[in-house]
Order: sequence, then structure tokens, then C-alpha cells
Amino acid sequence: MNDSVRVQFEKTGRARYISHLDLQHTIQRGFSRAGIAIRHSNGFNPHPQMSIALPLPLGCESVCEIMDFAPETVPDLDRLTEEMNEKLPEGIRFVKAYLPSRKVSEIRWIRTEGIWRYDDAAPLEELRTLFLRDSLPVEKKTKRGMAEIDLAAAVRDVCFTPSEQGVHMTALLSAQEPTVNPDLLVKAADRHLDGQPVPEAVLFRRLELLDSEGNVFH
Amino acid sequence: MTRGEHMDIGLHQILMKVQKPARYTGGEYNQIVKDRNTVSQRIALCFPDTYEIGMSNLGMRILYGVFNECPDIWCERVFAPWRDMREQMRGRGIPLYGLESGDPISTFDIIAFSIGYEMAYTTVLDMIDLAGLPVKACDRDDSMPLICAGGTVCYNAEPMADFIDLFFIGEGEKLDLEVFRLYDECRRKGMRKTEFLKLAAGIQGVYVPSLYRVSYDGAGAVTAVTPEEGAPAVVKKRIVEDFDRSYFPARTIVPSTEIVHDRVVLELFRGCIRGCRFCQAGYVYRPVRAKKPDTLIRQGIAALSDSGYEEITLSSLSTSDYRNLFSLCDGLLDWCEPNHVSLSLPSLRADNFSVDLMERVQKVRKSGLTFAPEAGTQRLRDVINKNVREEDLLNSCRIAFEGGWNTLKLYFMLGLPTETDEDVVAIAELAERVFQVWKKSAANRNRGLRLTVSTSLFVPKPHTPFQWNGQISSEEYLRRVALLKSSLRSRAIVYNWHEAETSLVEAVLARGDRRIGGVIEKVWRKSGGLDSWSEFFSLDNWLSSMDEEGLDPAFFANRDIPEDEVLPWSMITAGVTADYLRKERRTAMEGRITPDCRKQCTGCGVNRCFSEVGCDE
Repeated sequence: MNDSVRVQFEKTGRARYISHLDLQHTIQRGFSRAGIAIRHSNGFNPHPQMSIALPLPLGCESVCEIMDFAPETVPDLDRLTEEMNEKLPEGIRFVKAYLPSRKVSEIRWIRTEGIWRYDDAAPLEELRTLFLRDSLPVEKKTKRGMAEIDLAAAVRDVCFTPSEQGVHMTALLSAQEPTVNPDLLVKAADRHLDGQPVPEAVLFRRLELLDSEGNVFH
Repeated sequence: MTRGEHMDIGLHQILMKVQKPARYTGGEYNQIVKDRNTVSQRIALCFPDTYEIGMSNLGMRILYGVFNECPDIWCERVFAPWRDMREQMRGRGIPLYGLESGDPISTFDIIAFSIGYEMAYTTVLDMIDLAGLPVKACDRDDSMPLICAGGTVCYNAEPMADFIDLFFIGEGEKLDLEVFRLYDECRRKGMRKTEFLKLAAGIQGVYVPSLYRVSYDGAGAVTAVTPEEGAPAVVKKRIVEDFDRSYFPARTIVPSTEIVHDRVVLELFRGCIRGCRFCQAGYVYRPVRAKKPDTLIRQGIAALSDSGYEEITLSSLSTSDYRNLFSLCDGLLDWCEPNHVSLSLPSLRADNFSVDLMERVQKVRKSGLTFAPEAGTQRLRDVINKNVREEDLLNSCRIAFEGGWNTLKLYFMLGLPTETDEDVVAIAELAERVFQVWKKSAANRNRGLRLTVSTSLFVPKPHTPFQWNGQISSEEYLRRVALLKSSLRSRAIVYNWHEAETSLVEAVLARGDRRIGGVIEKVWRKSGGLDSWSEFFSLDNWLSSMDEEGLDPAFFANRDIPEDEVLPWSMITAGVTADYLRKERRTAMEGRITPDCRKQCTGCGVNRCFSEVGCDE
């Protein structure tokens, strides 16, 4: 998209249950309310030129979502976030708007945290050692059906600490090629930790986007 | 992640296991959140169907806005969970909650249902039960919320009399608040619920079923309805007198997930001038009250700007009867076109569809057209007072085809009073003539015509001239369906018919008395509610439950009720006199039409009942 504007936004609280497709629609309506016209594609079914990078899994929160859009006329970027935040539903909040200098394809890692809730004692030590393994095969849904990937190569810096509800996790997850849904970590634990309890509930949140050098992506 | 920042992890756990969780979370744009500690009344506004259906209902949006305009009231929305969510909630003991706060509605002061159709009755029971409350009004004590209901079906409230404390008859914009205020006052004074109900029965438009005793004869017919404790013998509906100045939800909730009617709805007028004899809405929403075009243009633009919606629809019982339709459309289009907003017009009559109107609708998008001649012959259309003439219909079709429309749906009813095989076959002949018109006038014949004929089974409704007429049996309906099917020869015509089973149950519920409550409760225990969905509807559930209650479906659905019999809904009036309904029925049987209200006043009685409101003549 030429002349596009990049927005970093949050999707937290109950907004985490809005699907990717519905989120696009919801933000489009926010732009309409704020009187910000978006350029439309040509063709029989014109659609607004707007794209949210790295779709967030349903139920996952994020404070580091990235979206590019093509406005008809470039708005005042300092006021855009404030204006839009009055026009968006609870939990969706623009953090900053700027002219992008880097391509979304440069995003390599997503720093993610999660709460794994256990009814019984959490298998903390087992989880810690599991993610130190050299190979950790899990099944992943792809466009062509189920495929097996090695999570060991696609996940870094996994850290588990005890928390009130069970365990608290932080990790770097591969952002693209492959895209690692944080639920895959739960699947890996389920598959490779025989006889250990499985979490009753898990709650994830994206914290930060990183490039291949480990620098924060903007 | 700090604690308290996210939703309860227990709810998160179940939301991750169900389809479309966004419909159970609230949090949408324009939802209203108040401080639970500073409001004096909390109201659960319940719609007994899914979020997608309930959020598409204009009445819900109006009442939500009207209630929340009161600073001391916090009204939240509640919808029926789909089966997967229902199982999760029941399995984990999560009670039904308000979408805005997430608080259990059993802790609210008032639970108010908006019931639009009879098939939602079992869902009402399931929602009361999911809230953790006894379904029967007599089993609920003073510590539990008051449960009330309104909506068009409440013009015969009897089937739900066992479950609901109080019914709102008519339009709720003012009535409901009067009742809520009285309830608040009574509670402050420490009065019992029964004392409150006696006082509430004195408000025009309130029907308290526990204050009426019903007597039956040996055959099961109602012989008397006796008011007790000073309740009025006849409950007169309430209406919004000044519709032009009535509340309009300009700041309306915009769901964050797709719903059925995801657009701004502009209600041009209440009521209908036409007087189709089968149509309950046409009788109970009298008199006709319209908004001024300027008001509508202003409200439409305000709602579009505020919501960001891409579509606006004009809604009323018969939209093309709006006097200033063209200037209204032009006024809206002046704003809509530059803002890429489309305008749609449902419920058009087949006799006054014009080139002008067509051009206005198609300016932004061209969707399919539906006309409802209802019957195949002029004779039968005269009987039902659907004053659409065949030449008008064919002319409307020609205009549409010339304008490039190639998708047309024709809607009919089978089993209308006096219908013969000749009338049934005539539906096929009429559809064939429409096809011939297309052949002659189509703008582009290469695109082909998609012509659909749909039939449903006539359901007699209370407060209409046909309220005494029995429904034909399911077997007879299916015979007529087969006759019509074999008469439709052209392959360009697709025929869809509505199942007979639900129409039979609808007729039982529409004309039912209080004893039907036992049936509804039994069916709910078997089906779990959502009987309005074919996935969950089972005729067997209804037939077996009627059998267990010792009731015969034919007695309610198929019987011609003698005109001198006491009707179960006789304690409620919409303002149209019983004498007028009888006269209209006789006129129907003679095959004569009654002119619409604009041609002349035909003396239905509503103008005398609401003398302060003029009819839109």
C-alpha cells in the first residue's frame, strides 16, 4: 500500500473474542464514525484498503497489534489515535499512528505471555524442561490440512514461573513461516508430558513484536 | 497481565469452547455501562432468541435507549445462548448474565422480555431457568425479580399466564417506565409483590394474569373471564401518541460481530392503513402515526454518522404507503450517496411500485424484490382485503424487469378462509403470467429470471376478523401444496413451501388459553427451548405434551370458534371493537373489500378509543 499509515493498537478484555474478520469491520466502522475516509480498491466489489498484520487468534489479547491503512487524505497523526479511541468499542485502543518505514515481513518474533490455570498442582518443572528439548514435534493446522512442525525451532526463551492461578509463561513465538499460535505450546505439553495434569484454562497476550535481530519492530 | 484486568478466567474457559463467543461478551460500541452502586433499578431486557436475531430487533434498541435515558435505571441486554453455550453454562453453573456487567440477572430488580413470536415461548422459560429462577410466577417469592413481558404476541397473553407476573399491552416507550417507577416506589415502601401487582393493574396497558379467573365448559371452551381485586374487566393497550417526537435510538449499539440486520432501521410510521384481514399487526398497531420526513432524514443521518453503518433501511408495515416517500428517499440519498451508504426499502406493495421509487432504491445497490399478493385470485384477495389487482402486480413486475431486476419472489398463503382448489391453481397461473411479462420486458434476457413462489399456511391470529376461523389441517395443506406444485409447469419458477408443523403449533399458541401453559412447560423440558429453530423444533414434543395435558391441538388450531363464544383474549383490547371485527368477517365471507383508512373511515373504533390521537387519514 502506497501512502499508507501504520497504527499500533491494543485488543484486550472482552474485545479479545472479536474474530479477525469482525475486527476489520469494526475498525472500518470506527473510521467512518471519525469521518476518516479510506481508499477503496477498484473493481466490482470495492473493499477498503486496510490490512491487519499477523491475525490474532480468537481469545488472545494483544498490546502490540499492527495495522496499515490507506486514507484518502493523510489525517493529523497526532490526533488520530485520540479521535479513533472515542469511536471504537471497549478493549480496542489505538496506541500510536505513524508513517511506516519497515515492511511487516520483517517481523520475526512475537513476545507472548500467558497464564496457564491448573485446578491441581501445576507441573512447573516438567514444563520448564520440556521446552529445553532439541526437538518438539506438534500438529499444526494449515491451509492444506494438518502438518507436523518442530516447535523447538519456532519458540525461544520459554520461561515458566509460578503464579496464583497456576503458572505464568513468557516466550518468543515465531511470527511467520511458521506462525506459532500460542495454543501449540499447550498442545506440546499435552502430547509430550505423559501423566501430567493439563491446564483447565489458558489466557495469552501478545506483548511485543521483534525483528530477526531481536529489536522491537515498529 | 495484572489480575482483575481481564474477564473471569472461568468464563474465558467456556467462551473458548463455543461458536462465536463475541455474542456472549457485550462490550460493543455504544453499550451503556453505569455504576451498579448508584442506580436504583437494574433491568434485564431479554430477547428470547439468539444475539444475532435480538440485536436486529428495533424494539429492543428503542426500549434499551428509553430505559437507559433514566439516570437511576441501568438496563442491560440478555439473549438466549445457543445450545453449545447453554450446555457449558449449565455444566459449570454459570447463571444467565447481563451482557454489559456480566452480573447474574437473578440479582436484578426486573426481568423484561420482548416477545415477538409464539415459537419463542419455550425459550422464555429456558432463560428464566438459566437465570436460576423458578419458571412459574407462583413459585417465585418477593426476593426474586419481577418478570414482565411485552410484544405483539402478548395481545393473547394467556399461554404464558403461568410464567409472567405482568404483561405490557401495546407500545412500551412510556408504559414500561410507569410500571418500573411504581415498582420502585412499592419496594421502597416495603410492599409485597402481590400488592404492587394490584396497583399496577390500574395502569392503562397493564395485564396481570394472576388477577383474572378463567372458567371453562365441559368441552374446554372459555365461558367467563372474571377480574378480581379491582383489576379492570378490559385492558386497553397503550400507544405512543406523538410518534414524530417519540424516542429514536440515534446512538445505537453497533455489534462487533455480524448480526442478521446489521444496519440502521428507520421506522417511518406505526400502524397500517390497509386492513388486510389476516394481519394482526395491521389491527393492533392502529391508528396510523407517521413521522415527518424532516424528522426521519435528521434521525437517519444522525444514526448513520454515529454508528458508521453502511446501510439504512426504511421499515414499516407497508413502507410505500408513506405519503412523502420520494422526498424522504431524496433527502436521505443526498447524504447516503457521497458517503457510500446504501438505502433499502423492504415491504413494498405490488400495486404502487413505480419507476421513480425503483430508481431511488437502485441508486446504491440492487437487491432482490419481493411482492406479496397473498392469494392467486381476485376473489380471494377481496376476501382477505389485500387490495392488490393482478394488472397492478404485472405492471410492477414489468417496471422491475425493464429496470434490470431479475430476481423476484412472490409470497402467498394457503388455507385462507374460503380458499378453493381454483384459488390454489390460480397461484401457478399468476406466476406463469409474471414469467411471460419477464420474457416480453426483461432488460437482459440472457441473465435469466429467478422467480420464486413461496407459500405458508395461514395462521388465524387474535384481534383480526379471521380470529374465529380454524386453520386447515396439515394433511389438507400438503394436498394443496401438491396441487400447486403440479400446476407450476415452468422450469424458471422455483417453489418453496413452509412446513405445516410449525404453523400448526403457531395456531395452537396464537389462539391458546391458559391451559396451554402446561404444554409449553412440558415442551421446554423436552426441547430445551429455541423451538423457533428448525434444528430444535419437534412436532412430536408438542403433540405428546398436549396429549399429556389432555388437550387436543385441533380444538385450538382447526376449530371454527362460534362468534358468541368467550375468546381467551377477550380481556384485552387493541381499540378495534369486536363488532367491527365481526362485521369485517361477514364482509369477507361476502367477498367484498373494505376501503383503506385514507379513502374513508370504516369505523374500527380505534379513533374513539384514542380520541386524542388523530388517524393519519
